[in-house]
Amino acid sequence: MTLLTVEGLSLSIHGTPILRDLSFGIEPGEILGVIGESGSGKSLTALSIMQLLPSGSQSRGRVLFAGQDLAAAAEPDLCAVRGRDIGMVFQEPMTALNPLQTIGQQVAETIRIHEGASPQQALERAEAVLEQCELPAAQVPLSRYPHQLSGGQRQRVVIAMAIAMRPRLLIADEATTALDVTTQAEILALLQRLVAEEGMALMLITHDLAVAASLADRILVMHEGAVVEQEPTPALLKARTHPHTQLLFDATDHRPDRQPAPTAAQTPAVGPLLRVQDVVQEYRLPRPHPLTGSGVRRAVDGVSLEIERGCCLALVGESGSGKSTLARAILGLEPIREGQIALGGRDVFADAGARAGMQAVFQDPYGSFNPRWRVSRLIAEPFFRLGRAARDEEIDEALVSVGLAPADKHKHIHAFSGGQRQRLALARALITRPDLIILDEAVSALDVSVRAQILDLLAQLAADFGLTYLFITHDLSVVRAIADNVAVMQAGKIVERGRTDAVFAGPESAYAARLLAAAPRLPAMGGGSRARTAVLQRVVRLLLAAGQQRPDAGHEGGSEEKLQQITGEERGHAPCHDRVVPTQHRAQPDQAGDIDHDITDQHRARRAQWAAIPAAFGEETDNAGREDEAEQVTTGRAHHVRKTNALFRGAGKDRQARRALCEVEQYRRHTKAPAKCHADDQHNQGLQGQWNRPERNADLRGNPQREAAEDGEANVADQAVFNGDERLRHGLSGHHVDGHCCSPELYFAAVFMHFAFRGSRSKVLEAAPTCANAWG
Amino acid sequence: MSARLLIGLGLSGLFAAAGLASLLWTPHDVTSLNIAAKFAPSSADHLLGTDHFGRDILSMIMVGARTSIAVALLAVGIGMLGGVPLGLLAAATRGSLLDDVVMRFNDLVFAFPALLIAIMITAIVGPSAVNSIVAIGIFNIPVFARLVRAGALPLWTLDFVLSARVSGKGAARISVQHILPNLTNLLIVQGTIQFSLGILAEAGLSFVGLGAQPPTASWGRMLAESQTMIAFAPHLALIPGLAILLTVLCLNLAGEGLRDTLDPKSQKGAQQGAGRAAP
Repeated sequence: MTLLTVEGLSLSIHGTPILRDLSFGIEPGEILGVIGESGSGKSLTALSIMQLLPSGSQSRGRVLFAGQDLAAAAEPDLCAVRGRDIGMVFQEPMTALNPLQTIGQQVAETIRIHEGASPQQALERAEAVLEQCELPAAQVPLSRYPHQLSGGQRQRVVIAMAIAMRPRLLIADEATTALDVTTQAEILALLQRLVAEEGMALMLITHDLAVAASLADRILVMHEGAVVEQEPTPALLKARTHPHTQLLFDATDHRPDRQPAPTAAQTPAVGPLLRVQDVVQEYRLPRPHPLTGSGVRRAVDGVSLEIERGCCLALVGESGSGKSTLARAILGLEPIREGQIALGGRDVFADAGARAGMQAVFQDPYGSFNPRWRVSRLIAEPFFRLGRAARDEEIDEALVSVGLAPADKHKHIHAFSGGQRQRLALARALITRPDLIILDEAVSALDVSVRAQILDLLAQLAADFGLTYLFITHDLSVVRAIADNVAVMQAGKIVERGRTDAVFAGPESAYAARLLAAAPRLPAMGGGSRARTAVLQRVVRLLLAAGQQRPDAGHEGGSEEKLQQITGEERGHAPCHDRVVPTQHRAQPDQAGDIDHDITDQHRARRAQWAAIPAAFGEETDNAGREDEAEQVTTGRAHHVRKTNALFRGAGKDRQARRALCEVEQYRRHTKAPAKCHADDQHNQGLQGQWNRPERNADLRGNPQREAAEDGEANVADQAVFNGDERLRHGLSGHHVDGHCCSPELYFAAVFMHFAFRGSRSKVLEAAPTCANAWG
Repeated sequence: MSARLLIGLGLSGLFAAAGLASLLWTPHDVTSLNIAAKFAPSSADHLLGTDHFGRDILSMIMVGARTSIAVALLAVGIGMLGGVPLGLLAAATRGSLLDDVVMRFNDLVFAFPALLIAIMITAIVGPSAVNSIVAIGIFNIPVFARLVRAGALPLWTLDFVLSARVSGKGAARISVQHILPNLTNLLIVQGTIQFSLGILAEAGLSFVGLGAQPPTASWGRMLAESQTMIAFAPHLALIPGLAILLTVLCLNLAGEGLRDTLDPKSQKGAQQGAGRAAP
């Protein structure tokens, strides 16, 4: 039975229509992702379900929760439902908690209200709930106040409050938006685990498509108060029927066309534009006690970096890593303790003229402008440094260059939207034609589609005016889109730097790897040729690696059964739990202690099961050290990789390959845990989560006709990958390709599966070029 | 121009005009006594009647408006002139020793009520209307200083201030160009409140004999003198009381209207630009 059914819900506030005729449902235990841009009515949908609407709102339609119409229910009945049957997690963990109450009291409050438990009982329950949310009382006592906790811990408390009564529906409204990527990954994993353990339904409201795609069973896309598309996640990712969905996808994955950074040969030998050397910045902490001395916090600790003229350097790190402090130091706003900062060879502290060559764009489009000034005065402010007023042509030109009209200069800032304000901020930064523009989280507060536009604008302006950017952000997808070079900052130090593609492909520091792993990503379900290529690249690489690791096994007959037995079992109780434990935890030995408590028995059992697979094939489990070898082979076979990529680029169907990848990935992960592949693991975890659910696989197996009707090749793939189609396999092991029987991807996936589990090294190595030749 | 502002400004203008007119002309001389006509009811000659000395109450209200409004206005002026720069200074140097010194000085002034300061000044220069202006004015300084500091602190953390600093502007310039304009709402609202309080404080000071001295008419003095006769001549207390009430109400209305009008969001053409960025 459907847990929540919303039928024809419309809402207007003071006559302005907000929601238009929404209809959707949530099944028990289902994760429904609600995505849309700001202003699309996501949050008000949640509030309508809770009947916590702002004054002046009028709603129509029915909200059936477990058979009860909440829209028609009386306030006392609603109070009983809120918190007990429906829990809610809000975006801002600081404001969602009362700063004057301990976390224990706040969690216990819900329990006391709904159960009438004694304070003591309620506190005991609260302790248990907090422990369930990974805040054990031994480490975080109930007597802590919210300000003593980190953002992630606070959000766990908020979640604990929401699930204290074991609600049947949990609504998470942008619950991870205010958090760092790594914390976000942990909270998402927690939510997923709770949903699995408690069997509650989760309504996950987010603007981040990647977050929704990685968690949700079904995605509902909202636009201007209406549901534009509502599909199971894989189908939505694959089809994207509605143009708005497509728009969201494109924007999420958007990369502006930009010229590559000038190479060393092209730049005249004048040295870097910005040179930061061994900069140290310290803040004095408040004295803990009147008689003790005050401590010192090193916000920036010996940072050196250089930016060449015309390049874009991205400075990446979590909040509190010292990025913004460094930016302020570079801008000459705060004197530094040690070190040197020079722009174009001139020290920014000694030489005020050097500072005129820099401008900045800040994060908050709403706080960046004096609301009392008109645009003409606002964007002309940097001319103060030059000691003259701006000419009208200069103002007009700056406005035009960022895509606004000259007439806009007479307006006040409130007349502009968030994206337009960021354009104005760029106009203000551009107007004096600086050499360097520091963009401090300049696109973080924007919707994806607006962000894509601003990124395009940045790329275009860089080309037009020869600008150099220092791009400070925590958002890795933006980094990929815009930066030539990346510097990763952690606790005031730069832990890694390099070219963007190099760092993304193979981060050297553990921290950078963790950041990359934690960033939610869109599964590459037909997500454009780039995403597809990435998946296929990995297929090929893994294929080659697998071939390297598996010397001729030569016991096909015996292990065949066992393989089927194991994988069949695997599919039988497909592991909800497997997608729940955060991957980076499992992959990182140094965190093993932390996560021991969340490895449940079920998980241990699964581990043992997986560990049995190689044994079944008479192979050693300890494959550590071979990874490097495999990598070498990979590099050695780079031309095969390239060829195969070219082969797949236009094919448009990569589902089979991905599915195969998931299977192999599972196998690979459980036989060894290579430290180098965290990012990939995380990625595949997402894929795996989508494919390894029992209902899905059952669906695929059970309806071959449907699949066949939809896509004949997919059907073959299902058989090859999941059911072990003997005919196909035999064909494959002889690397004889039956051109009309399957697509390149399918063939490849099947080859991959086949050899990864029981193939031979030589055959795999042969297979790649054969495959490439077959369709090259 | 909102209706509120029109009504508020109109009525307060009426009181101000009456006060100014009293400089040139009043229906009767407020210093001439006519004991025979004491406690006269409203008539053509005495529109609002006469008091216990037979003085014309309308004339006294007109003269009193002058005193009361002048005292309150000047007191608010002193408070703003002293308090706003102090508050801006404290906010600009937030966390420093100077900030502490300024704010502790304010606390010190706050510790003495206007009455006490008035007594102190009276002890030095003797009682007069000027005395009450200075006393109420000094009392207003910490009110504005605290308000401005509290209002300016969050503004200093905003990005447009940072942006101004990137443009090379110093703290003083930022305070004047960016911080102060964004505090006008606060200052207008608090200004009207302090103005109303100033009228009441002047009435209070005159009531205890520390403000305007006889025969200078003031609303506060009229109230004070009427208290012994309130049982048989209630209009003596009611009329100046109503005058104070109406002035305060009008000023609050005018203040709110002014705040709305000065807000750029309510200005004409505000909505024209929305949604016009080039793609």
